[in-house]
Amino acid sequence: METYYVPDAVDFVFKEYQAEFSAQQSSQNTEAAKADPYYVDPLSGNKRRAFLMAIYLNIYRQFLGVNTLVAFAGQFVPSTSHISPYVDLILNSVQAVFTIVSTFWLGNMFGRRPLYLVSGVQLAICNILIMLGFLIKVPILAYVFMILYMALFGLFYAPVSWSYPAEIIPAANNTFATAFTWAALTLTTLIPPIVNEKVGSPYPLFAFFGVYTAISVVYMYTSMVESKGRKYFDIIR
Amino acid sequence: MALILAISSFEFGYALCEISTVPITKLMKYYDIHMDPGAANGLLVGIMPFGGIFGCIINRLFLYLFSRKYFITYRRNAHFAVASLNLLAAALVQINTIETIVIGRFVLGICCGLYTAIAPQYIKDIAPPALRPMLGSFISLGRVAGIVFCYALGVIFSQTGVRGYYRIIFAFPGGLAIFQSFLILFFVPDSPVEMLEKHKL
Repeated sequence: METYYVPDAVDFVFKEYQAEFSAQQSSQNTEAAKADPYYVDPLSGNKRRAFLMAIYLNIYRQFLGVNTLVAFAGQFVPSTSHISPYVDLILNSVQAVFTIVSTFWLGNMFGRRPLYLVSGVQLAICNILIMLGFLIKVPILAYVFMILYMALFGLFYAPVSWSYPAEIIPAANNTFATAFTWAALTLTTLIPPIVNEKVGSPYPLFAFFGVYTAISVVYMYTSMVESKGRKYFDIIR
Repeated sequence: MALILAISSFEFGYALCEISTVPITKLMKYYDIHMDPGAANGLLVGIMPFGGIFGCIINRLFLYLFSRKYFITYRRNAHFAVASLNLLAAALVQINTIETIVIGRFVLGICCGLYTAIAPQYIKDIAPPALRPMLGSFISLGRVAGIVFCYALGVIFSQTGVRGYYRIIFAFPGGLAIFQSFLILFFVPDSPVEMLEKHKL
């Protein structure tokens, strides 16, 4: 892996960052910027938009519902079913296979924006159909679309999930934005088992995930900029 | 290097699922938990990402208080500190009380929060734009590998009837953190941006 894919041209990378770093230093004259050369004020112009987008995408990453499926899918399947001990393993193995495919192939073919939008539409539909499966008590419909959800997630969303927010904002702000993904993950892992037990079915969860994902697609369509092949300062401009 | 850093997200995926590999009723019995099973399940899984929030805040505080330059100078020491926290978390969950498993999972979450805030940024720093999509995907790849590995361990142990297998599953992240720290020590150099900031370039 390192032989073929990790860049050995360290000087080439250094030159790129040297230029970027110099441009950033010369573009900022505030006291904070002088104290910390890598400081970027998150609340001005396009930087603010990028910062808010990164926060939103960190929340979106969890409210897609994937980690609820990852952690609790086995509990959504009746324990009397002979497949129940293996549901989690099967679902996540499907996700793993398609994530490998996307890592080495699909993620390089398309830009971040198309992948976000296409995956958003697909996952919203899957969430709604999983919800319907549980609501009308046709479990096979829910199971089929849970597997399809994992495949589509791995194929279209996984390549951009963590990389895009890190590309559109600087390190210090990315740390802050990542806290929102953990806050959202806390909610999507704390609440589902309680809802599942109280309601007797997880359909309200998938209804929420489906609607949230659909609304997010509209927001991303209107506000997301492409970052593929571009450096931070090009994106901000 | 990206693969070594993907171990961080491997741990995140693993930590997310380790509770789900053991039936919640058994866990409640082992740890003497007296509450609604749904609430207990939500608490034991959800406390880990709650710790992740604090991991990110701690990371941001270090950057703010000591500046990125200072923090990065001691990055390797910081990794060993996080690995030690990981060991502490793994040790705490071995004690069968609800307090220790909740605190242990919370500490594990802090470690995962620290890792996940640093790793994508480091990969962005070292990768030229053409390779960023693939190397950035390694974070997702590591996460899902951790999930599959954790569930596979759970299925194997439960099907073979190993007694108290939850202890082995819960102890694993501690060993993994030590392994990663040694890999980082010997194989992962400072990123170009870090070297610029340290005026080594």
